[in-house]
Amino acid sequence: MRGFLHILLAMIVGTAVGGISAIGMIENFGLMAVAGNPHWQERRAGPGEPFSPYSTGYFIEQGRVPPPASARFFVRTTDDDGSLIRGECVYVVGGVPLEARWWTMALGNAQGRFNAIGAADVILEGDGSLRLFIAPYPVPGSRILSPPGSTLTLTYVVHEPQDVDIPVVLPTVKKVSC
Amino acid sequence: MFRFYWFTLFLLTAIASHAAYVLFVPGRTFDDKLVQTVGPDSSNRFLILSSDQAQQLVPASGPSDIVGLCRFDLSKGPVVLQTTPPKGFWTLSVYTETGTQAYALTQSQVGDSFAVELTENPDIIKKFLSAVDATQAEQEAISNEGWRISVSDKKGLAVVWVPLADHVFRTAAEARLKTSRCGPKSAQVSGG
Repeated sequence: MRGFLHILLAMIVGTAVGGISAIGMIENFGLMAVAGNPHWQERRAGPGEPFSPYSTGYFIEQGRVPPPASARFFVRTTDDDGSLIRGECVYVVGGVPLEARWWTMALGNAQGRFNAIGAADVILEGDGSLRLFIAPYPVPGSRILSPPGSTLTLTYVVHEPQDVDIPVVLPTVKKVSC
Repeated sequence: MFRFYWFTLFLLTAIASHAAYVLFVPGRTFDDKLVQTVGPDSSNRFLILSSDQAQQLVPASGPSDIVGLCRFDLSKGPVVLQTTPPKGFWTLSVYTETGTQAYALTQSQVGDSFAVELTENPDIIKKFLSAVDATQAEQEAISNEGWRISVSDKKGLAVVWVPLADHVFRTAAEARLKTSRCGPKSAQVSGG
């Protein structure tokens, strides 16, 4: 009887450990650091990427298709000071957008709700740089509405980027007010 | 000795449950969510999603983007997707049932209008038979016109994503994409 209980316990714990490790690896295995951009991470989910079942699993488990193979998918959860991006604060996204056929930027919360803005919706500065606000209320200029929720994830998807071999310089996120 | 046995049992159970979760749970969840989004009778038809549906399906898509999709089912033979996307940038991505990307096309690779034939990867016996039967191989080569995509699963998803430069183009762009067709190659293909 005692032996049977040990077998049962080993199987229950094994099942739990296997399932929990799968959830954790699906969440984290497709994420790669972006050289020179400490706050950004790149989520790779192309067919040739290592650990493809994990990286594609991240998207499809949420009911979303992985981004096209020709796109690069960058994410960040913190501003330039290293604090979590929060829905009630105002941020300004600056820098020069990557040379690409198209790009979109989106904010999502834990519930997976997204507000997005595309390349054509953003008015660039005279020097071609980006000045995009993340704010929960209207502000002058281009803006992504902060969805409700305490912490947010900023996603930057670049479709068919040029110069894929050179290191990328991704936009900055500075807190304006809170 | 007994401790080693329990540890081995624990390890094997953990590996099995890990592999089962990674290989089956996301795909099953995706299929369920997709059916909830587009309905159960959406197989082998070309559909244009509403803005909310599109934002649920395509990560980081904008409110003015247009997303068309075909949930293809190859169990009764090849499926043909004919589409005429609006002018400008667009992508076509073909995914297997498990979410693996089988193919991707953009407007820079094809013209204004194109057709894609989706077929299932032949198993090893079919490959052997076509290798020894020259007539069959020739027939396949003759029918191989345009784009032909082989996928490893019987079911999957073809997604056409069109970001728009301006909201005012949406009606015209949607009308153009609505002429797309998706259905079995053997039958008259149906549109959305």
